[in-house]
Amino acid sequence: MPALLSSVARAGQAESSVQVRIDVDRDVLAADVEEHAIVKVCLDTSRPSRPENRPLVNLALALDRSGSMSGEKLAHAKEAALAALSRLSEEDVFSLVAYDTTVETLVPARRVGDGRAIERAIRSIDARGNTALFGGVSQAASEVRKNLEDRRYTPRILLISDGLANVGPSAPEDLARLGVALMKEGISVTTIGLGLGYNEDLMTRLAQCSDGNTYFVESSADLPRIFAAELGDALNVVARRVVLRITFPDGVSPKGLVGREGVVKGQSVELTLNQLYGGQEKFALVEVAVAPTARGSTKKIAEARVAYEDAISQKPATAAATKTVAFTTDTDAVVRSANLKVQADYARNAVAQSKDRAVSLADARQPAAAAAELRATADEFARMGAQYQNRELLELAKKTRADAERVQNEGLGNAARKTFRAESAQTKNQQSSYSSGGSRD
Amino acid sequence: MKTYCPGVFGSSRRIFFYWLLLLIPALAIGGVAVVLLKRERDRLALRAASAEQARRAALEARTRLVAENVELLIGDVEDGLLDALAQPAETDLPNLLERWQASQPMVRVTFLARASGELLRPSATTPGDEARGFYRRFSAQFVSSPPWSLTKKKETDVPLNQAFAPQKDFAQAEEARNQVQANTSKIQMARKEARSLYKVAPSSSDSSSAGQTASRSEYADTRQAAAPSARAPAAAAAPKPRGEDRRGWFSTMNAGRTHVLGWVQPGGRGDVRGVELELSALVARLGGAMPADLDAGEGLALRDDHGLVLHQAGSIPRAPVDPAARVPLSDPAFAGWEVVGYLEPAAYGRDSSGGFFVVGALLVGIFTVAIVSGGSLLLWQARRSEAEAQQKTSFVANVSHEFKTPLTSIRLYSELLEQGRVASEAKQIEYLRTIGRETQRLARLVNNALDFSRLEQGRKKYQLESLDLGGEVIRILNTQEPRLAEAHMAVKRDLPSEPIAVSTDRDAVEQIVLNLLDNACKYAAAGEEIVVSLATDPSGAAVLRVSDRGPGVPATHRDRIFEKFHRVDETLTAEKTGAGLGLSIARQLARGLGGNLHYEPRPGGGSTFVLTLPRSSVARRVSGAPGAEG
Repeated sequence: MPALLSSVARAGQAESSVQVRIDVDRDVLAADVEEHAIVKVCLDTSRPSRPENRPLVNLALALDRSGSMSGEKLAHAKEAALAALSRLSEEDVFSLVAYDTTVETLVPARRVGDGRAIERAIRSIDARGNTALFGGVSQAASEVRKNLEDRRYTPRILLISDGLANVGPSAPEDLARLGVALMKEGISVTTIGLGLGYNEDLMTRLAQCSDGNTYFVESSADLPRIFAAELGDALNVVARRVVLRITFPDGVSPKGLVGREGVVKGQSVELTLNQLYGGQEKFALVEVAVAPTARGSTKKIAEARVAYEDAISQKPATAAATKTVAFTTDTDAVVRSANLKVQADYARNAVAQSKDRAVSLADARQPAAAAAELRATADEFARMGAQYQNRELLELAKKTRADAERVQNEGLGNAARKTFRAESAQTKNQQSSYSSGGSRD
Repeated sequence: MKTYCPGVFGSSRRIFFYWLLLLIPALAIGGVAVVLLKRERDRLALRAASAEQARRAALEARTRLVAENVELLIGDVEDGLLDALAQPAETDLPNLLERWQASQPMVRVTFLARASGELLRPSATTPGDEARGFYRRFSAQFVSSPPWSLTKKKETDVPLNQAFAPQKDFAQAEEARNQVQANTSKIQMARKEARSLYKVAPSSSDSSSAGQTASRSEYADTRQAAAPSARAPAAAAAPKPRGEDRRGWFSTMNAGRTHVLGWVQPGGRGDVRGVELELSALVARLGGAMPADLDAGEGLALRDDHGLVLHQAGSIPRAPVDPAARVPLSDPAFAGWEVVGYLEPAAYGRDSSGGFFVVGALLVGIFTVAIVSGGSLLLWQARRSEAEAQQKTSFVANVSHEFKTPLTSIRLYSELLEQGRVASEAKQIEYLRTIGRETQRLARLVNNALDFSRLEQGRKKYQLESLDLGGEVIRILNTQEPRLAEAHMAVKRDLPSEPIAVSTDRDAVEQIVLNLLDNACKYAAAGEEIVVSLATDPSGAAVLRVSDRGPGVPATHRDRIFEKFHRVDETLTAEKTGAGLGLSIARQLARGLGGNLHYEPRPGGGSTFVLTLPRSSVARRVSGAPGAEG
């Protein structure tokens, strides 16, 4: 069996900060029939060896200071911002944009220095007016752009809002398009939705389209934790402008991506990631159809190549890997070769997509159909879990079925909808959710 | 007082004249002040209006400037994209189009089409949702009516060396309008950013995707450097003469969303290259055209063709109101887009000048009223003093007259007795008695005059002692009986058998009773009857009634008869002498003793004067000088 296992070829230099790894849901596939397999292409990153080696960040904080933020929410947000500020180094660039009915740049992009002026500006924020969210992001982007050419810096916008955008463009589609454009410039927007009043579609789409993280914070007291997690990512960027190209040989045809979005071009799939964080695994899942192959043979199933800019050396770098699988008629061998982790990742992303569909159905006032959608997904993975003895799958199926029951009985409430959206986006983005964020401090 | 008195009339005319003398200047000053106030108000209103006009003009200029800046930004992006798109040769094109779509933030989709409108790229099979969506939206539309075959919507065939001419205009506009430095730097920053975009130019050699970032390093600080570098390849790529480029921008609605597309046909023939603008990204950058600083009360907003506010600055009214300034964008691809300016009502507007007038007029009014009423008060006081002086004069005359009668009698009889011309002893006794009676009368008069003066000065002092009021009344009536009998007045007594003990001033009570009896003798002599009754009322006070069958007192005089010097101005009383003091003194004494004296008409005709005395008098006025009584 070891002979059948793939060897991971590393094309990049030994000290490359990003490694590519290809896993398949089963290393041995059934011979002589058309097979369907899940190819998981992982981008593994190592943490920077020394913290002082970390790339500098160009962080813009776009803070909602509309009337609804007044009181505890704003106080926590300010506290969190101050805590975040204290973790930045003197050389990092920081800007602060506060938006209500209009947009005001309280701190234009500048080196953090001793941070006192920035601290004063953060403390001076008070709540008033409406929510010009689009303008706030635009202005924050404009501040980030001032140092965009300096490639030492990792650009990032942190958007905090607790309300519905009601000044300026406010359709999720508008913000999604803006996210796409910002992504092209290498700017990621991390969105933090606070409380139950914000528009989760808008916030998650903006984050997804710009390859940023997204968080749903029901209690503003959690904000400092979120900031710590987010800053942990931003301060830990090891690679930027990552383009992953997966090529499939003849006889293996990509059917589509599960979870993370990408473009399927004939025999290849291309994905773009804005930033990779140290110590985190990001991956793409591709469903492939494998043409009938003779028993006993081995076959290359995929080849992956990643091109990125090293955040520390600011130099372009690449890495590559290939994967081969074996074919057999022994069904037990096929089952034994199952990669339970790949299956679980696939299942989680499939459930995330299923949840998105369920939200759409619930929005269309078909809670029964939404529940049925979730239940079907749960059943599928319960079957799969039983077949492969995958406990994680069974757990997930159980949890999804519970979600389905809840949707069936209570419909999709505001908080549940926000949780669905945020979890779905976090899963697809392989974002370390904030509940585990504290551990990275 | 019926007598005609020219002096009094003359003096009241004089007083009226003085009053006019006061009134006219006060009113004149007030009037002039109001007129001046009005003029000041109008001047203020005028100034406010012109200030408002200036604000409005400034806002209009600012709105226009922002609109120009927005157009410049849009123009920069549009021209930059199409310029860059027109450069590469056919062979380089697919590479450029693909990389642009992937990396140029202002580009949503790139496309290539035949002049006929047939879409070459993206095709129905091109991978990617964006490309497929574009194909679905526009393939049919392009074939049915290729936008480039229509009347040219916007020809931007700007000679290369004039590409940045608008910048010059902007500089002039900036000077002309004295725009705030911060605003200028903001828009310049936005334009610089926008221009830096198209330098993700067709550098065909780097095929690695990390090259996206590499090409960014071409960033140049100044536009002077930017212009040639962006266009240098053009000169090399197209050395042979070719026709003018055709290019244009248009917008189209699809499923409720606006799409803005630009196309260029290099050389004016052949295939058409184009881009769909990433509208959200452009809109995000247009925020840079909004001024950073605005005057207080000003608001500016950029609105799209649906009237949706895209960016705003300053204070925008919440309720929908008509904007004070409105400048539509001239770019046909952005038809319906406009920059609007709002103006809050000025703090020092017409209203406050009205308020100034009201307050001013109020002050003038108060001032005038104060002068006139103060003057009138003084004049009234003068008239009153004059009337009092008049009364006193007539009082002196009356009193003198009163004194004269008893004195004449006394003198006459005493002379007769002195000369011994009265032989009869009975006569002598009668004369002496008359002299005595007249002396008593004189004494009463003098007492009255003294009391009056003491009461006037507030120096009347009461000697309180316990006495039986019934006995005291009997004593007084007994003393006065002869005199009353002489005046043919029969006195009927209605007095209680048991004593009524009161603590009071014996002399004051006697004075009151005498005055009442005198009053009855003087004015009700024809009635021939006086009834004196004494009783106690439920509260325990003693009530003494002196009733006559005289003509009574007319209703209008019933209270005034107790005023000093007042006399009922009837023929009846006019022929009687008197100082008009008796009742006034009697009431003042009664009140001084804690009681009262009032008039009641007597049933069946005549008058009743009712004296109420409390059981224990509390002397109200106590003399400052204890020995003043004498």
